Amino acid sequence: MSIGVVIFPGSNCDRDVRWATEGCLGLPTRFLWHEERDLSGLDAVVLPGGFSYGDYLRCGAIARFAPVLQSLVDFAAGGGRVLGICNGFQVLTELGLLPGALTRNRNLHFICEDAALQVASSRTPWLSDQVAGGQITLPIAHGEGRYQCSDKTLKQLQDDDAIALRYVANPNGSVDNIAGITNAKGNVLGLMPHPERACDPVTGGVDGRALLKALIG
Amino acid sequence: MQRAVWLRAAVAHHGIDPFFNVPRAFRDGCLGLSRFNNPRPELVPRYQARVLVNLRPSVLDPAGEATRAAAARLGVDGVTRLRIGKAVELELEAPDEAEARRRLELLSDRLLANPVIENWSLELQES
Repeated sequence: MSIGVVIFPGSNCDRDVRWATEGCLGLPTRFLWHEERDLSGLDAVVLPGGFSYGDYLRCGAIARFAPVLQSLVDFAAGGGRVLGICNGFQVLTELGLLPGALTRNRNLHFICEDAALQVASSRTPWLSDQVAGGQITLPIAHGEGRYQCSDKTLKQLQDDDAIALRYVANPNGSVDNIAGITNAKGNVLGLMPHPERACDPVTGGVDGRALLKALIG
Repeated sequence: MQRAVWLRAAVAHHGIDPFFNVPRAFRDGCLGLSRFNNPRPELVPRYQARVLVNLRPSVLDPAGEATRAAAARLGVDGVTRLRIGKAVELELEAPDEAEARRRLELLSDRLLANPVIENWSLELQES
């Protein structure tokens, strides 16, 4: 029973995630260097926030080719839980584990603030202790978080009940106010808000705890 | 082969180069490096390419909009549309143009552009 947190060159939320999962929640956690291929013994893998490979070319475009992610595709296919936070969400879309893409915020600003989020679906383990339609508050911190997809993909997401979280007040221009989505199976979640920054009461909220607890169990 | 091993051992042991002042091609030939023995290395065609990557028309380009607004502030009127993309310049070696094109198309589609939000076009010429 263990969580792996991937470190890419340029990741900067890797230790925050570990503090949240291990320090606040007591879940055994280890770091995974981006060149590792062995994911055995892990129940869940987190792709943390940051600027992997300097965001060169596009956010997440180069991280996609990291050896650890080739193993992650099989890991996810086998039902392992995968959580992509912020840059991790961008990587998951580039990798093709989640549909769509994340583009420059509508107002071009890097937005760093608390965001009220509506639980769009409590179907998956990530939000199963929430009521659909309920609200949680998580911090956001991104310049390229405007979720973008074709009408067809959006319809597919809605049909699959794969939209996990929506912004109450859309800060970045995301299609359909999307803040986070899952795959159809529900074991992969990507979201722009940072649950790991809402686990320790001293940082102003603990709404992220339930979401990270869902990594195990 | 044995001779090459002996030579390397001699160099390592004595710290001297027994082929000092011997023409380079001859020396390399003696050391058994076959690639230096090839009298006429094959010439692989070289190509120059430029891949232009642009946001799909349906995707909002806020940076382009901001730049268009700045154009008006500069006093340049009449700019009705401004979209920002990127240009990637490459040089590559390939056996022929069809193969060069195939490689570049793969590269553009899988790495340089994200087809979910971007279109790309390719300019290719032999250099």
